[in-house]
Amino acid sequence: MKMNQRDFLLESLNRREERAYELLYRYFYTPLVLFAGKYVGNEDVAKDIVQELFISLLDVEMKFDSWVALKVYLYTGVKNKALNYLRHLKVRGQYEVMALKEGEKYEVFLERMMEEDVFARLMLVVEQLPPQYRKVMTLTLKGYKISEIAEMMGISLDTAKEYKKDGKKRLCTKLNGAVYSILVGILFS
Amino acid sequence: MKKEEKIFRISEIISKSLGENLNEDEVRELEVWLAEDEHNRELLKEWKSVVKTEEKIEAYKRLKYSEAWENFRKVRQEKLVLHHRKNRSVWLKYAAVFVISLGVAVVLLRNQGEDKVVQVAETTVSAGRSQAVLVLSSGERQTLNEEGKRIEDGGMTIKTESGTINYSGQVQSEVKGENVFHTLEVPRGGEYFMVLADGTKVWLNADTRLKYPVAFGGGVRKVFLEGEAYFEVAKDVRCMFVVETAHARVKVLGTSFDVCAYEEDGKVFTTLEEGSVEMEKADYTEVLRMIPGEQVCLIEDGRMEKYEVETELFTSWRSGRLVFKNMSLEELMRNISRWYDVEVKFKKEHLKRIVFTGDVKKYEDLDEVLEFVELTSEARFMIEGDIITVY
Repeated sequence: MKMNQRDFLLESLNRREERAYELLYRYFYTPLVLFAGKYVGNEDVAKDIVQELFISLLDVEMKFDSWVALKVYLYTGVKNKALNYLRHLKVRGQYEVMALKEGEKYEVFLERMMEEDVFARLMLVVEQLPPQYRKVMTLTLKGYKISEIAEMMGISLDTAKEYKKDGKKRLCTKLNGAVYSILVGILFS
Repeated sequence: MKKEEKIFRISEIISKSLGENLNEDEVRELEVWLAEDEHNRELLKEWKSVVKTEEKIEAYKRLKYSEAWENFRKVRQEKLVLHHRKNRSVWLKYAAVFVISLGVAVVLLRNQGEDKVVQVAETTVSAGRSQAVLVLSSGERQTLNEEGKRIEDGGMTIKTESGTINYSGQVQSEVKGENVFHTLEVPRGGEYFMVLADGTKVWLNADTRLKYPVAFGGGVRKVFLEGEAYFEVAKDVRCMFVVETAHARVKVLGTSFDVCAYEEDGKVFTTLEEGSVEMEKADYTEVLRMIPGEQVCLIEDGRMEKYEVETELFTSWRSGRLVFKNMSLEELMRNISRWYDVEVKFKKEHLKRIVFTGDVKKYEDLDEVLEFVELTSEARFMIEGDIITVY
Protein backbone atom coordinates (compact mmCIF):
# COMPACT_ATOMS: atom_id res chain seq x y z
CA MET A 1 0.00 0.00 0.00
CA LYS A 2 1.21 3.45 -0.80
CA MET A 3 1.20 6.20 1.77
CA ASN A 4 -1.68 8.09 0.19
CA GLN A 5 -3.85 4.98 0.33
CA ARG A 6 -3.19 4.55 4.00
CA ASP A 7 -4.07 8.18 4.63
CA PHE A 8 -7.18 7.72 2.55
CA LEU A 9 -8.20 4.67 4.55
CA LEU A 10 -7.62 6.44 7.87
CA GLU A 11 -9.62 9.48 6.81
CA SER A 12 -12.38 7.36 5.43
CA LEU A 13 -12.43 5.26 8.58
CA ASN A 14 -12.61 8.34 10.76
CA ARG A 15 -15.64 9.37 8.72
CA ARG A 16 -16.98 5.86 9.35
CA GLU A 17 -17.62 5.08 5.69
CA GLU A 18 -18.54 1.61 4.49
CA ARG A 19 -15.67 1.51 2.06
CA ALA A 20 -13.16 1.95 4.88
CA TYR A 21 -14.52 -1.01 6.76
CA GLU A 22 -14.31 -3.16 3.67
CA LEU A 23 -10.68 -2.21 3.25
CA LEU A 24 -10.07 -3.10 6.88
CA TYR A 25 -11.43 -6.55 6.17
CA ARG A 26 -9.37 -6.87 3.06
CA TYR A 27 -6.13 -5.85 4.71
CA PHE A 28 -6.52 -7.24 8.21
CA TYR A 29 -9.11 -10.00 8.43
CA THR A 30 -6.92 -12.98 7.53
CA PRO A 31 -3.78 -11.88 9.43
CA LEU A 32 -5.87 -11.08 12.50
CA VAL A 33 -7.59 -14.47 12.42
CA LEU A 34 -4.22 -16.20 12.18
CA PHE A 35 -2.92 -13.98 14.96
CA ALA A 36 -5.90 -14.80 17.20
CA GLY A 37 -5.48 -18.47 16.33
CA LYS A 38 -1.99 -18.41 17.82
CA TYR A 39 -3.56 -17.41 21.15
CA VAL A 40 -6.63 -19.61 21.29
CA GLY A 41 -5.50 -22.53 19.14
CA ASN A 42 -8.84 -22.81 17.36
CA GLU A 43 -9.62 -21.16 14.06
CA ASP A 44 -13.39 -20.90 14.54
CA VAL A 45 -12.96 -19.17 17.88
CA ALA A 46 -10.33 -16.96 16.26
CA LYS A 47 -12.79 -15.92 13.54
CA ASP A 48 -15.44 -15.02 16.12
CA ILE A 49 -12.97 -12.94 18.08
CA VAL A 50 -11.91 -10.95 15.04
CA GLN A 51 -15.50 -10.43 13.92
CA GLU A 52 -16.43 -9.21 17.39
CA LEU A 53 -13.61 -6.71 17.35
CA PHE A 54 -14.59 -5.35 13.93
CA ILE A 55 -18.21 -4.98 14.97
CA SER A 56 -17.17 -3.22 18.17
CA LEU A 57 -15.52 -0.58 15.95
CA LEU A 58 -19.04 0.55 15.02
CA ASP A 59 -19.82 1.47 18.60
CA VAL A 60 -16.66 3.22 19.67
CA GLU A 61 -15.83 6.80 18.88
CA MET A 62 -12.21 6.34 17.85
CA LYS A 63 -10.05 8.44 15.63
CA PHE A 64 -6.81 6.94 14.37
CA ASP A 65 -4.16 9.47 13.58
CA SER A 66 -1.62 7.05 12.19
CA TRP A 67 -1.31 3.75 10.44
CA VAL A 68 0.75 2.33 13.31
CA ALA A 69 -1.91 3.40 15.81
CA LEU A 70 -4.61 1.61 13.81
CA LYS A 71 -2.62 -1.61 13.52
CA VAL A 72 -1.66 -1.62 17.17
CA TYR A 73 -5.29 -0.99 18.12
CA LEU A 74 -6.49 -3.94 16.04
CA TYR A 75 -3.82 -6.39 17.16
CA THR A 76 -4.11 -5.33 20.80
CA GLY A 77 -7.88 -5.62 20.69
CA VAL A 78 -7.73 -9.13 19.27
CA LYS A 79 -5.08 -10.15 21.80
CA ASN A 80 -7.18 -8.90 24.72
CA LYS A 81 -10.29 -10.65 23.50
CA ALA A 82 -8.33 -13.87 22.97
CA LEU A 83 -6.84 -13.75 26.46
CA ASN A 84 -10.25 -13.03 27.94
CA TYR A 85 -11.62 -16.02 26.11
CA LEU A 86 -8.92 -18.23 27.62
CA ARG A 87 -9.44 -16.76 31.10
CA HIS A 88 -13.17 -17.42 31.02
CA LEU A 89 -13.03 -20.97 29.79
CA LYS A 90 -14.88 -23.17 32.24
CA VAL A 91 -12.57 -26.07 31.68
CA ARG A 92 -8.97 -25.18 31.00
CA GLY A 93 -6.78 -28.00 29.77
CA GLN A 94 -3.02 -28.08 29.80
CA TYR A 95 -2.90 -26.43 26.40
CA GLU A 96 -5.04 -23.49 27.49
CA VAL A 97 -3.05 -22.96 30.68
CA MET A 98 0.14 -22.81 28.66
CA ALA A 99 -1.41 -20.68 25.92
CA LEU A 100 -2.62 -18.17 28.48
CA LYS A 101 0.73 -17.96 30.24
CA GLU A 102 2.56 -17.54 26.94
CA GLY A 103 0.00 -15.12 25.56
CA GLU A 104 0.33 -12.72 28.45
CA LYS A 105 3.94 -11.95 27.55
CA TYR A 106 4.41 -8.64 25.80
CA GLU A 107 7.36 -9.84 23.66
CA VAL A 108 5.20 -12.68 22.39
CA PHE A 109 2.57 -10.15 21.32
CA LEU A 110 5.14 -8.10 19.39
CA GLU A 111 6.57 -11.17 17.68
CA ARG A 112 3.20 -12.47 16.61
CA MET A 113 2.10 -9.08 15.36
CA MET A 114 5.31 -8.71 13.33
CA GLU A 115 4.93 -12.14 11.81
CA GLU A 116 1.39 -11.57 10.60
CA ASP A 117 2.29 -8.13 9.33
CA VAL A 118 5.09 -9.59 7.23
CA PHE A 119 2.91 -12.18 5.56
CA ALA A 120 -0.09 -9.89 5.21
CA ARG A 121 2.02 -7.60 3.06
CA LEU A 122 3.49 -10.42 1.08
CA MET A 123 0.12 -12.01 0.34
CA LEU A 124 -1.47 -8.72 -0.61
CA VAL A 125 1.27 -8.12 -3.12
CA VAL A 126 1.15 -11.63 -4.54
CA GLU A 127 -2.63 -11.36 -4.87
CA GLN A 128 -2.31 -8.25 -6.95
CA LEU A 129 -0.05 -9.84 -9.55
CA PRO A 130 -1.53 -10.92 -12.89
CA PRO A 131 -2.72 -14.53 -12.91
CA GLN A 132 0.22 -16.24 -14.61
CA TYR A 133 2.76 -14.45 -12.43
CA ARG A 134 0.76 -15.27 -9.36
CA LYS A 135 0.72 -18.97 -10.13
CA VAL A 136 4.46 -19.04 -10.68
CA MET A 137 5.08 -17.05 -7.51
CA THR A 138 2.80 -19.15 -5.34
CA LEU A 139 4.35 -22.36 -6.59
CA THR A 140 7.82 -20.93 -6.08
CA LEU A 141 6.89 -19.94 -2.54
CA LYS A 142 5.81 -23.51 -1.99
CA GLY A 143 9.27 -24.73 -2.95
CA TYR A 144 8.72 -26.12 -6.45
CA LYS A 145 11.57 -25.98 -8.93
CA ILE A 146 11.10 -23.79 -11.97
CA SER A 147 11.22 -26.81 -14.31
CA GLU A 148 8.43 -28.48 -12.31
CA ILE A 149 6.39 -25.30 -12.40
CA ALA A 150 6.73 -25.06 -16.18
CA GLU A 151 5.47 -28.59 -16.53
CA MET A 152 2.58 -28.10 -14.10
CA MET A 153 1.42 -24.98 -15.90
CA GLY A 154 2.00 -26.39 -19.36
CA ILE A 155 4.29 -23.59 -20.43
CA SER A 156 7.84 -23.63 -21.71
CA LEU A 157 10.77 -23.43 -19.31
CA ASP A 158 11.84 -20.12 -20.78
CA THR A 159 8.40 -18.61 -20.31
CA ALA A 160 8.25 -19.82 -16.72
CA LYS A 161 11.67 -18.30 -16.04
CA GLU A 162 10.56 -15.07 -17.61
CA TYR A 163 7.43 -14.93 -15.42
CA LYS A 164 9.46 -15.64 -12.34
CA LYS A 165 12.06 -13.01 -13.11
CA ASP A 166 9.49 -10.39 -14.01
CA GLY A 167 7.24 -11.35 -11.09
CA LYS A 168 10.10 -11.00 -8.69
CA LYS A 169 10.89 -7.57 -10.07
CA ARG A 170 7.28 -6.51 -9.65
CA LEU A 171 7.20 -7.82 -6.11
CA CYS A 172 10.38 -5.96 -5.24
CA THR A 173 9.08 -2.68 -6.61
CA LYS A 174 5.85 -3.18 -4.79
CA LEU A 175 7.37 -4.21 -1.49
CA ASN A 176 9.92 -1.46 -1.34
CA GLY A 177 9.42 0.27 1.98
CA ALA A 178 7.20 -2.51 3.16
CA VAL A 179 8.11 -4.50 6.19
CA TYR A 180 9.63 -7.63 4.74
CA SER A 181 10.69 -7.41 1.19
CA ILE A 182 13.60 -9.38 2.56
CA LEU A 183 11.46 -12.44 2.04
CA VAL A 184 11.27 -11.82 -1.65
CA GLY A 185 15.02 -11.52 -1.94
CA ILE A 186 15.63 -14.80 -0.22
CA LEU A 187 12.75 -16.91 -1.46
CA PHE A 188 13.12 -16.05 -5.10
CA SER A 189 16.87 -15.96 -5.40
CA MET B 1 3.19 2.93 21.47
CA LYS B 2 6.91 3.65 21.45
CA LYS B 3 7.94 0.01 21.39
CA GLU B 4 5.55 -0.80 18.56
CA GLU B 5 6.70 2.15 16.54
CA LYS B 6 10.23 0.90 16.87
CA ILE B 7 9.19 -2.56 15.72
CA PHE B 8 7.66 -1.18 12.55
CA ARG B 9 10.62 1.12 12.02
CA ILE B 10 13.11 -1.75 12.22
CA SER B 11 10.97 -3.80 9.88
CA GLU B 12 11.00 -1.03 7.36
CA ILE B 13 14.75 -0.81 7.51
CA ILE B 14 15.13 -4.53 6.98
CA SER B 15 12.96 -4.36 3.89
CA LYS B 16 14.85 -1.37 2.62
CA SER B 17 18.13 -3.19 2.98
CA LEU B 18 17.22 -5.17 -0.11
CA GLY B 19 17.06 -2.03 -2.13
CA GLU B 20 20.74 -1.50 -1.28
CA ASN B 21 20.18 2.05 -0.28
CA LEU B 22 20.46 2.05 3.51
CA ASN B 23 22.17 5.07 4.89
CA GLU B 24 24.60 4.82 7.77
CA ASP B 25 22.00 5.53 10.43
CA GLU B 26 19.73 2.81 9.15
CA VAL B 27 22.52 0.26 9.01
CA ARG B 28 23.37 1.10 12.60
CA GLU B 29 19.75 0.83 13.75
CA LEU B 30 19.38 -2.55 12.09
CA GLU B 31 22.57 -3.86 13.65
CA VAL B 32 21.48 -2.65 17.05
CA TRP B 33 18.18 -4.50 16.69
CA LEU B 34 19.81 -7.77 15.61
CA ALA B 35 22.39 -7.49 18.36
CA GLU B 36 19.74 -6.73 20.96
CA ASP B 37 18.70 -10.34 21.16
CA GLU B 38 19.82 -13.55 19.56
CA HIS B 39 16.12 -14.33 19.30
CA ASN B 40 15.65 -11.64 16.66
CA ARG B 41 17.90 -13.54 14.25
CA GLU B 42 15.96 -16.73 14.93
CA LEU B 43 12.68 -15.00 14.17
CA LEU B 44 13.95 -13.82 10.84
CA LYS B 45 15.21 -17.28 9.99
CA GLU B 46 11.89 -18.86 10.89
CA TRP B 47 9.90 -16.45 8.75
CA LYS B 48 12.12 -17.14 5.79
CA SER B 49 11.61 -20.89 5.95
CA VAL B 50 9.63 -22.66 3.23
CA VAL B 51 7.58 -24.50 5.86
CA LYS B 52 6.34 -21.23 7.32
CA THR B 53 5.60 -19.74 3.92
CA GLU B 54 3.66 -22.76 2.78
CA GLU B 55 1.64 -22.73 5.99
CA LYS B 56 0.71 -19.11 5.36
CA ILE B 57 -0.20 -19.61 1.73
CA GLU B 58 -2.56 -22.42 2.68
CA ALA B 59 -4.05 -20.32 5.47
CA TYR B 60 -4.67 -17.36 3.15
CA LYS B 61 -6.38 -19.63 0.65
CA ARG B 62 -8.61 -21.00 3.38
CA LEU B 63 -9.49 -17.79 5.19
CA LYS B 64 -11.38 -15.47 2.90
CA TYR B 65 -12.91 -12.37 4.36
CA SER B 66 -16.01 -12.14 2.16
CA GLU B 67 -18.41 -14.02 4.42
CA ALA B 68 -17.36 -12.16 7.56
CA TRP B 69 -17.56 -8.90 5.64
CA GLU B 70 -21.12 -9.54 4.46
CA ASN B 71 -22.13 -10.28 8.01
CA PHE B 72 -20.46 -7.09 9.26
CA ARG B 73 -22.15 -5.04 6.55
CA LYS B 74 -25.57 -6.26 7.63
CA VAL B 75 -24.91 -5.44 11.26
CA ARG B 76 -23.67 -2.01 10.27
CA GLN B 77 -26.70 -1.25 8.15
CA GLU B 78 -29.05 -2.25 10.92
CA LYS B 79 -27.25 0.08 13.27
CA LEU B 80 -27.25 2.87 10.69
CA VAL B 81 -30.95 2.61 9.98
CA LEU B 82 -31.71 2.53 13.67
CA HIS B 83 -29.73 5.72 13.98
CA HIS B 84 -31.41 7.30 11.01
CA ARG B 85 -34.81 6.60 12.40
CA LYS B 86 -34.07 9.10 15.12
CA ASN B 87 -34.06 11.83 12.55
CA ARG B 88 -36.19 10.82 9.64
CA SER B 89 -35.99 14.16 7.89
CA VAL B 90 -32.34 13.78 7.09
CA TRP B 91 -32.62 10.20 5.94
CA LEU B 92 -32.71 10.88 2.23
CA LYS B 93 -29.73 13.17 2.51
CA TYR B 94 -27.76 10.35 4.07
CA ALA B 95 -28.92 8.03 1.38
CA ALA B 96 -27.46 10.33 -1.19
CA VAL B 97 -24.11 10.50 0.54
CA PHE B 98 -23.56 6.86 1.37
CA VAL B 99 -24.14 3.87 -0.79
CA ILE B 100 -27.04 2.19 0.87
CA SER B 101 -29.08 -0.77 -0.10
CA LEU B 102 -32.18 -1.14 1.96
CA GLY B 103 -35.44 -2.89 1.71
CA VAL B 104 -38.12 -0.44 2.66
CA ALA B 105 -41.82 -0.77 2.57
CA VAL B 106 -43.78 1.77 4.48
CA VAL B 107 -43.45 4.43 7.05
CA LEU B 108 -46.74 4.73 8.78
CA LEU B 109 -47.52 7.92 10.49
CA ARG B 110 -49.06 8.00 13.89
CA ASN B 111 -52.81 7.78 13.88
CA GLN B 112 -54.62 10.95 14.68
CA GLY B 113 -57.35 8.99 16.42
CA GLU B 114 -58.66 9.97 19.82
CA ASP B 115 -58.82 6.38 21.00
CA LYS B 116 -55.29 6.48 22.28
CA VAL B 117 -54.64 7.63 25.79
CA VAL B 118 -51.00 8.22 26.48
CA GLN B 119 -50.04 7.79 30.07
CA VAL B 120 -46.86 9.76 30.37
CA ALA B 121 -46.53 9.21 34.08
CA GLU B 122 -46.38 5.47 33.68
CA THR B 123 -42.96 5.29 32.14
CA THR B 124 -39.73 7.10 32.83
CA VAL B 125 -37.07 6.31 30.26
CA SER B 126 -34.07 8.11 28.90
CA ALA B 127 -34.36 9.25 25.30
CA GLY B 128 -33.68 6.93 22.41
CA ARG B 129 -32.99 3.87 24.51
CA SER B 130 -33.94 0.41 23.36
CA GLN B 131 -36.87 -0.11 25.67
CA ALA B 132 -40.17 -1.79 25.26
CA VAL B 133 -42.83 -3.78 27.03
CA LEU B 134 -43.84 -7.11 25.58
CA VAL B 135 -47.42 -8.15 26.26
CA LEU B 136 -47.82 -11.92 26.00
CA SER B 137 -50.93 -13.74 24.86
CA SER B 138 -51.92 -14.20 28.50
CA GLY B 139 -51.78 -10.46 29.09
CA GLU B 140 -48.62 -10.78 31.16
CA ARG B 141 -46.25 -7.82 30.71
CA GLN B 142 -42.47 -8.25 30.33
CA THR B 143 -40.11 -5.30 30.30
CA LEU B 144 -37.42 -5.55 27.63
CA ASN B 145 -34.22 -3.59 27.89
CA GLU B 146 -30.56 -3.98 26.92
CA GLU B 147 -30.23 -7.20 28.87
CA GLY B 148 -31.08 -10.49 27.24
CA LYS B 149 -34.12 -12.48 28.35
CA ARG B 150 -35.80 -15.77 27.60
CA ILE B 151 -39.53 -15.63 27.16
CA GLU B 152 -41.77 -18.65 26.86
CA ASP B 153 -45.20 -18.45 25.33
CA GLY B 154 -47.38 -20.36 22.91
CA GLY B 155 -45.11 -23.37 23.02
CA MET B 156 -41.99 -21.49 21.94
CA THR B 157 -39.01 -19.80 23.50
CA ILE B 158 -38.05 -16.35 22.31
CA LYS B 159 -34.71 -14.86 23.14
CA THR B 160 -34.11 -11.13 23.39
CA GLU B 161 -30.69 -9.57 23.38
CA SER B 162 -29.14 -6.10 23.26
CA GLY B 163 -32.30 -4.24 22.38
CA THR B 164 -33.82 -6.60 19.84
CA ILE B 165 -36.30 -9.41 19.82
CA ASN B 166 -36.17 -12.02 17.10
CA TYR B 167 -39.00 -14.40 16.19
CA SER B 168 -37.43 -15.76 13.05
CA GLY B 169 -35.79 -19.15 12.96
CA GLN B 170 -37.76 -20.38 15.95
CA VAL B 171 -38.98 -23.92 16.01
CA GLN B 172 -42.67 -24.03 16.66
CA SER B 173 -45.90 -25.65 15.68
CA GLU B 174 -47.23 -23.22 13.09
CA VAL B 175 -50.89 -23.82 13.71
CA LYS B 176 -50.46 -22.80 17.28
CA GLY B 177 -48.15 -19.82 16.72
CA GLU B 178 -50.42 -18.12 14.25
CA ASN B 179 -53.11 -17.73 16.85
CA VAL B 180 -50.78 -16.53 19.58
CA PHE B 181 -50.44 -12.77 19.48
CA HIS B 182 -47.82 -10.61 21.14
CA THR B 183 -47.90 -6.85 21.43
CA LEU B 184 -44.73 -4.82 21.58
CA GLU B 185 -45.21 -1.46 23.25
CA VAL B 186 -42.52 1.15 22.91
CA PRO B 187 -42.89 4.03 25.40
CA ARG B 188 -42.31 7.69 24.68
CA GLY B 189 -38.60 8.32 24.39
CA GLY B 190 -37.90 4.73 23.44
CA GLU B 191 -37.32 2.83 20.24
CA TYR B 192 -36.95 -0.82 19.35
CA PHE B 193 -35.83 -3.10 16.57
CA MET B 194 -37.40 -6.49 16.02
CA VAL B 195 -37.53 -9.31 13.52
CA LEU B 196 -40.87 -11.00 12.90
CA ALA B 197 -41.26 -14.73 12.40
CA ASP B 198 -41.01 -14.38 8.61
CA GLY B 199 -37.77 -12.39 8.83
CA THR B 200 -39.38 -9.00 8.26
CA LYS B 201 -37.47 -6.30 10.09
CA VAL B 202 -39.34 -3.64 11.98
CA TRP B 203 -38.03 -0.50 13.56
CA LEU B 204 -40.53 0.91 16.05
CA ASN B 205 -40.47 4.55 16.92
CA ALA B 206 -41.38 6.05 20.28
CA ASP B 207 -44.93 5.78 21.57
CA THR B 208 -45.86 2.89 19.31
CA ARG B 209 -47.68 -0.42 19.64
CA LEU B 210 -47.36 -3.35 17.25
CA LYS B 211 -49.46 -6.49 17.53
CA TYR B 212 -48.40 -9.58 15.60
CA PRO B 213 -48.66 -13.37 15.68
CA VAL B 214 -45.57 -15.15 17.02
CA ALA B 215 -45.66 -17.26 13.86
CA PHE B 216 -47.29 -16.71 10.49
CA GLY B 217 -49.54 -19.31 8.92
CA GLY B 218 -49.81 -19.88 5.21
CA GLY B 219 -52.06 -16.94 4.37
CA VAL B 220 -51.78 -13.19 4.63
CA ARG B 221 -49.13 -11.89 7.00
CA LYS B 222 -51.01 -9.33 9.04
CA VAL B 223 -49.84 -7.05 11.83
CA PHE B 224 -51.59 -4.21 13.66
CA LEU B 225 -49.95 -0.88 14.23
CA GLU B 226 -50.58 2.21 16.31
CA GLY B 227 -47.86 4.83 16.06
CA GLU B 228 -44.93 4.74 13.71
CA ALA B 229 -42.80 1.94 12.37
CA TYR B 230 -40.43 1.27 9.56
CA PHE B 231 -40.71 -2.08 7.80
CA GLU B 232 -38.26 -4.02 5.72
CA VAL B 233 -40.58 -6.67 4.46
CA ALA B 234 -39.18 -10.14 3.86
CA LYS B 235 -40.00 -11.27 0.37
CA ASP B 236 -42.70 -13.87 0.07
CA VAL B 237 -44.67 -13.52 -3.14
CA ARG B 238 -47.28 -16.02 -1.97
CA CYS B 239 -48.14 -14.24 1.26
CA MET B 240 -49.00 -10.59 1.16
CA PHE B 241 -47.81 -8.53 4.09
CA VAL B 242 -50.52 -6.28 5.50
CA VAL B 243 -50.21 -3.56 8.07
CA GLU B 244 -53.56 -2.69 9.61
CA THR B 245 -54.08 0.64 11.26
CA ALA B 246 -57.17 2.37 12.55
CA HIS B 247 -57.81 4.33 9.36
CA ALA B 248 -55.84 2.62 6.63
CA ARG B 249 -54.36 -0.57 5.43
CA VAL B 250 -51.03 -0.95 3.71
CA LYS B 251 -50.37 -3.94 1.53
CA VAL B 252 -46.97 -5.02 0.38
CA LEU B 253 -45.30 -8.03 -1.10
CA GLY B 254 -41.83 -6.93 -0.13
CA THR B 255 -39.81 -4.01 -1.35
CA SER B 256 -36.20 -3.69 -2.22
CA PHE B 257 -34.31 -1.04 -4.04
CA ASP B 258 -30.83 0.16 -4.66
CA VAL B 259 -29.33 3.62 -4.25
CA CYS B 260 -26.16 4.33 -6.09
CA ALA B 261 -24.47 7.62 -5.27
CA TYR B 262 -20.76 7.61 -6.06
CA GLU B 263 -19.25 11.08 -5.96
CA GLU B 264 -17.18 10.45 -9.08
CA ASP B 265 -20.22 9.48 -11.13
CA GLY B 266 -21.83 12.82 -10.35
CA LYS B 267 -25.33 11.39 -10.09
CA VAL B 268 -27.64 9.42 -7.83
CA PHE B 269 -29.53 6.35 -9.03
CA THR B 270 -32.36 4.56 -7.34
CA THR B 271 -33.32 1.21 -8.81
CA LEU B 272 -36.48 -0.46 -7.63
CA GLU B 273 -36.71 -4.23 -7.71
CA GLU B 274 -40.00 -4.85 -6.02
CA GLY B 275 -42.79 -2.92 -4.34
CA SER B 276 -43.21 0.78 -4.57
CA VAL B 277 -41.02 3.64 -3.53
CA GLU B 278 -40.59 7.33 -4.06
CA MET B 279 -37.39 9.18 -4.64
CA GLU B 280 -37.37 12.69 -3.31
CA LYS B 281 -34.76 15.36 -3.65
CA ALA B 282 -33.02 16.26 -0.41
CA ASP B 283 -34.61 19.71 -0.54
CA TYR B 284 -38.11 18.25 -1.05
CA THR B 285 -38.66 20.11 -4.33
CA GLU B 286 -39.46 17.07 -6.44
CA VAL B 287 -40.80 13.57 -5.93
CA LEU B 288 -41.07 10.69 -8.36
CA ARG B 289 -43.03 7.55 -7.64
CA MET B 290 -41.53 4.39 -9.02
CA ILE B 291 -42.79 1.00 -10.06
CA PRO B 292 -40.64 -2.16 -10.13
CA GLY B 293 -38.08 -2.27 -12.88
CA GLU B 294 -37.74 1.48 -12.94
CA GLN B 295 -34.74 3.55 -12.22
CA VAL B 296 -34.74 7.20 -11.26
CA CYS B 297 -31.59 9.15 -11.87
CA LEU B 298 -30.77 12.50 -10.30
CA ILE B 299 -28.26 14.17 -12.60
CA GLU B 300 -25.67 16.80 -11.75
CA ASP B 301 -27.76 19.68 -13.03
CA GLY B 302 -30.58 18.69 -10.65
CA ARG B 303 -32.87 17.04 -13.18
CA MET B 304 -34.55 13.75 -12.26
CA GLU B 305 -35.16 11.24 -15.01
CA LYS B 306 -36.95 7.91 -15.04
CA TYR B 307 -35.96 4.85 -17.09
CA GLU B 308 -36.94 1.25 -17.44
CA VAL B 309 -34.00 -1.01 -16.65
CA GLU B 310 -32.99 -4.58 -16.01
CA THR B 311 -32.69 -4.20 -12.27
CA GLU B 312 -30.31 -7.11 -11.80
CA LEU B 313 -27.67 -5.14 -13.59
CA PHE B 314 -27.78 -2.58 -10.80
CA THR B 315 -28.42 -4.68 -7.73
CA SER B 316 -26.26 -7.75 -8.30
CA TRP B 317 -23.33 -6.20 -6.44
CA ARG B 318 -25.14 -6.92 -3.18
CA SER B 319 -24.61 -10.62 -3.66
CA GLY B 320 -20.97 -10.06 -4.51
CA ARG B 321 -21.46 -10.29 -8.28
CA LEU B 322 -21.22 -8.04 -11.23
CA VAL B 323 -23.63 -8.80 -14.01
CA PHE B 324 -23.00 -6.73 -17.09
CA LYS B 325 -24.64 -6.56 -20.46
CA ASN B 326 -23.07 -4.66 -23.28
CA MET B 327 -21.00 -2.81 -20.72
CA SER B 328 -18.14 -0.76 -22.07
CA LEU B 329 -14.65 -1.67 -20.95
CA GLU B 330 -14.39 1.82 -19.47
CA GLU B 331 -17.38 1.23 -17.19
CA LEU B 332 -16.31 -2.32 -16.38
CA MET B 333 -12.89 -1.08 -15.32
CA ARG B 334 -14.48 1.67 -13.22
CA ASN B 335 -16.29 -1.04 -11.27
CA ILE B 336 -13.14 -3.09 -10.98
CA SER B 337 -11.25 -0.09 -9.72
CA ARG B 338 -13.80 0.43 -6.92
CA TRP B 339 -13.89 -3.21 -5.96
CA TYR B 340 -10.21 -3.89 -5.88
CA ASP B 341 -9.05 -0.41 -4.92
CA VAL B 342 -6.87 0.00 -7.96
CA GLU B 343 -6.36 2.79 -10.43
CA VAL B 344 -7.06 2.09 -14.08
CA LYS B 345 -5.32 3.80 -16.96
CA PHE B 346 -6.10 3.45 -20.64
CA LYS B 347 -3.21 3.81 -23.08
CA LYS B 348 -5.50 3.72 -26.12
CA GLU B 349 -8.79 5.63 -26.17
CA HIS B 350 -10.61 3.23 -28.50
CA LEU B 351 -10.23 0.34 -26.03
CA LYS B 352 -12.67 2.09 -23.67
CA ARG B 353 -15.49 1.49 -26.12
CA ILE B 354 -15.20 -2.28 -26.46
CA VAL B 355 -18.32 -3.86 -24.93
CA PHE B 356 -18.69 -7.03 -22.90
CA THR B 357 -21.43 -9.19 -21.48
CA GLY B 358 -20.88 -11.48 -18.54
CA ASP B 359 -21.34 -12.33 -14.88
CA VAL B 360 -18.43 -12.42 -12.43
CA LYS B 361 -17.86 -12.83 -8.74
CA LYS B 362 -16.55 -9.88 -6.87
CA TYR B 363 -13.99 -11.36 -4.59
CA GLU B 364 -12.29 -14.12 -6.48
CA ASP B 365 -12.45 -13.56 -10.15
CA LEU B 366 -10.41 -10.50 -11.04
CA ASP B 367 -7.94 -12.73 -12.82
CA GLU B 368 -10.71 -14.45 -14.68
CA VAL B 369 -12.29 -11.20 -15.80
CA LEU B 370 -8.99 -9.89 -17.02
CA GLU B 371 -8.14 -13.18 -18.68
CA PHE B 372 -11.56 -13.27 -20.31
CA VAL B 373 -11.17 -9.74 -21.60
CA GLU B 374 -7.68 -10.54 -22.90
CA LEU B 375 -8.97 -13.63 -24.64
CA THR B 376 -11.92 -12.01 -26.35
CA SER B 377 -10.49 -8.68 -27.33
CA GLU B 378 -7.31 -6.92 -28.27
CA ALA B 379 -7.04 -5.31 -24.81
CA ARG B 380 -4.08 -6.33 -22.63
CA PHE B 381 -3.42 -5.57 -18.99
CA MET B 382 -0.35 -4.61 -17.04
CA ILE B 383 -0.56 -4.50 -13.27
CA GLU B 384 2.05 -2.34 -11.61
CA GLY B 385 1.36 -1.98 -7.91
CA ASP B 386 -2.05 -0.38 -7.64
CA ILE B 387 -2.29 0.67 -11.23
CA ILE B 388 -3.80 -1.42 -13.99
CA THR B 389 -2.82 -0.19 -17.41
CA VAL B 390 -4.94 -1.21 -20.36
CA TYR B 391 -2.94 -1.24 -23.57
